[in-house]
Amino acid sequence: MEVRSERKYRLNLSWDYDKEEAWLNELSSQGLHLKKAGFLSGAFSRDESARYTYSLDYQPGFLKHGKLQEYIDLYQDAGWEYVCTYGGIWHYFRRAWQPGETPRLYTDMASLVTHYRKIQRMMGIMLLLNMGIFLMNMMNLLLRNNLWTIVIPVVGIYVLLLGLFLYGYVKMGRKISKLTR
Amino acid sequence: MPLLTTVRRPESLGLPAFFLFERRNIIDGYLCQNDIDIRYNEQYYIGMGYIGLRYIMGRDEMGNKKEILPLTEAFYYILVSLYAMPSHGYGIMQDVEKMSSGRVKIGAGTLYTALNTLLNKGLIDHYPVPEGTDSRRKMYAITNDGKTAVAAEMSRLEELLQAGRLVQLSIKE
Repeated sequence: MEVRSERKYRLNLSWDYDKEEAWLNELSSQGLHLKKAGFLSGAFSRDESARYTYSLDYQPGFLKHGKLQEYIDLYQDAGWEYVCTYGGIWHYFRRAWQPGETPRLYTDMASLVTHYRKIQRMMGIMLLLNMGIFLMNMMNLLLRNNLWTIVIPVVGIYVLLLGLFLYGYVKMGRKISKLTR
Repeated sequence: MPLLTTVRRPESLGLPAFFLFERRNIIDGYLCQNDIDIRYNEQYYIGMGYIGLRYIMGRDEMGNKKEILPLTEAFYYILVSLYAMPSHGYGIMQDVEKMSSGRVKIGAGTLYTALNTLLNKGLIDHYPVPEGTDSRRKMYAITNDGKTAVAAEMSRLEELLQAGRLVQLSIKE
């Protein structure tokens, strides 16, 4: 059977990972199954005879701890096939689609909240880190010269970046309070 | 339940004093400052340095110092399953489903994070995989602390049950 690789484009943002799941499931129902995930696009293979349910999991730190195989094995035992990773922190799993069944990786509220908190924490780290880098860059630029043609674009880029992380942080916070309310 | 903790000073972590932070303890509603071992109900870390540090070093993941009791259904069943005998992740999943007559199904993500939390808190430990069995699957065993946690949870549940039963009985009479 010929397997063609196709590309689909979508801006994949961590705090909307459940929407990304829904998108992948929708494409899978049309016969397009994710092979490799990316930030702006994904590589898909076409197979009309199959249909999968996709799940995304945020688990950082495997590069450091080297426990990736153990993790994949546990999920496999639970019926999840490992598809790919994005940046070693997001992991994509799938299982054969069953009518009327919505399999979940997190089956109770407490663990889902813990999962959301971990994602929120990542946003917080990125926000603080970039804030520090931004301040150092600004000090450097302002002390050395008055090249406003450089300063203004740099400020613009960082405001966008910091705004994005702040938005993600707030968005995850809303998800958490929606669950725990 | 209050618990005992030690304050980490930046020097003890090999960090410059820049990371100096302030910790406040609330004891029975009174706010006080202290840097010795102390019983406390809640703690607040003040100072960007320390907050950043906590994030970056990934300490206290899932609230290492926070009390785990009362246990969630998933945590309780995982501990009970390991109380019976050491097992691997897959065994625990099947065991829990059987014990709860199919009511509680623990998802892979829930189980994986629960096992890591229980390991961090010392309620379970790694268990050597017996020879001749599938060595791919990591095994876990309950610790004495884990057994204590199960016992504490059971007496809490017993109290809840008793209170409910008493009321039911008093209404019937």
